[in-house]
Amino acid sequence: MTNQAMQEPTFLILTALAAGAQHGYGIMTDVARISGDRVRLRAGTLYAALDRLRGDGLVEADREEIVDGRLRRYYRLTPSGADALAAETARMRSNAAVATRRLRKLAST
Amino acid sequence: MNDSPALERRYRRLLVWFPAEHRREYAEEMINVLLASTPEGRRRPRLADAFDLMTGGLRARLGQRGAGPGDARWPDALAVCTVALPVTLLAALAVNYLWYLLPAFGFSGVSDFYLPALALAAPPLLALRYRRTAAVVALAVAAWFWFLLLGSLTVWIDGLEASYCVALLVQAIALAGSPGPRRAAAIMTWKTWLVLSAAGITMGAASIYYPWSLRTWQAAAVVVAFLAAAGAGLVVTLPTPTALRLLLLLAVPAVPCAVWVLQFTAALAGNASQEPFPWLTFLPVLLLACVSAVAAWQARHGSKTA
Repeated sequence: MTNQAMQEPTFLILTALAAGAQHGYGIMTDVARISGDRVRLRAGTLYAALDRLRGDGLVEADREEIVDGRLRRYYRLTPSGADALAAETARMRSNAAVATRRLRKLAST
Repeated sequence: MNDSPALERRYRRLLVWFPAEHRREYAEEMINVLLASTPEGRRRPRLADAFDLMTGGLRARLGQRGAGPGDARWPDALAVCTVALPVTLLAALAVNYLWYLLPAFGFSGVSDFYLPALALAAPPLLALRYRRTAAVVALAVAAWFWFLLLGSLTVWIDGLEASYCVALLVQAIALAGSPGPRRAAAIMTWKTWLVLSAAGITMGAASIYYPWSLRTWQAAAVVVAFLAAAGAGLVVTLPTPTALRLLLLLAVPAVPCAVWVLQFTAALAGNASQEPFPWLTFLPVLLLACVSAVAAWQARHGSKTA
């Protein structure tokens, strides 16, 4: 299972955290921005994913703040999270390169 | 940020879909995020959010949490299931077959009784190479058995045949939703094979010489004892989370079979005419079948939502 392609929401969450620690709502808005509003994570999905990513050691809690009497927890990428994101990026880049090459060939024939 | 207390209360109510452990860890944060992402002035959760919380909560309860790497418990259970069903049934029918092969009985040929077993065994063999084709084959055979069953709907629905049918359906789901028999072979130890064979041999022996003169409660005790022993055997010889899920899957065909044995005993004991099969007993089976279908779907597609 580990060598399976990463699901897009997971990829986007890790990408959001690659810019630095963020809290839940921050991740949510960042993911929407990165994906050009195509992927809109909702709370249930986001926290299910964060829980799993923490369990897998790709993400960890950074710090907690109380803002307006409400808890805000920040999450950050772990070194193995950064590795996983790098590996996924490399995989996508190599696939995209092959596709681009072939499309170019197709267009020239 | 939407500060409506009514909205917050409604969101908290929706969070009940999540397991307590998940709520303890994330409830306050989730409420924040939900309130922050709901437009000002709104007093009821958006339908899409409510649905997302419900499905997210159910997924967390099923232990799926998005079925990411490291959480392969349902796929593992489904994989073992693709092997467990045919091994058990083939062991049972082999005993039955060999017994009637004894000279004393004058072999009367292979009855159609054996066909379901072969149908169950063929897809996993096929699945070693073509998993999806195998799932389709299992589904087709199940449909065919249902068709045969329909002919006898007016008389007595034979729990044993119904059991074969659901076994084939479970098999199709298990093949479609798991990495297949190869993965099963990696998880199972020789002890698991032993437990499955022993269960099959016991069933086969019971099919030859079942003490039909038992009272119903005695028969019930025998059936419960058998199921408990087989279940305990699997729990001991497999990783517990996999074993528990496997038991849930195996219960789907086992329940109609057990009910059939009890009914048959009762009918013989009371010399009563065979009663129609109580459809109510299929309700838990149906429920279990739904659970296994959801599990299979989750196993394949669950990670796409997280």
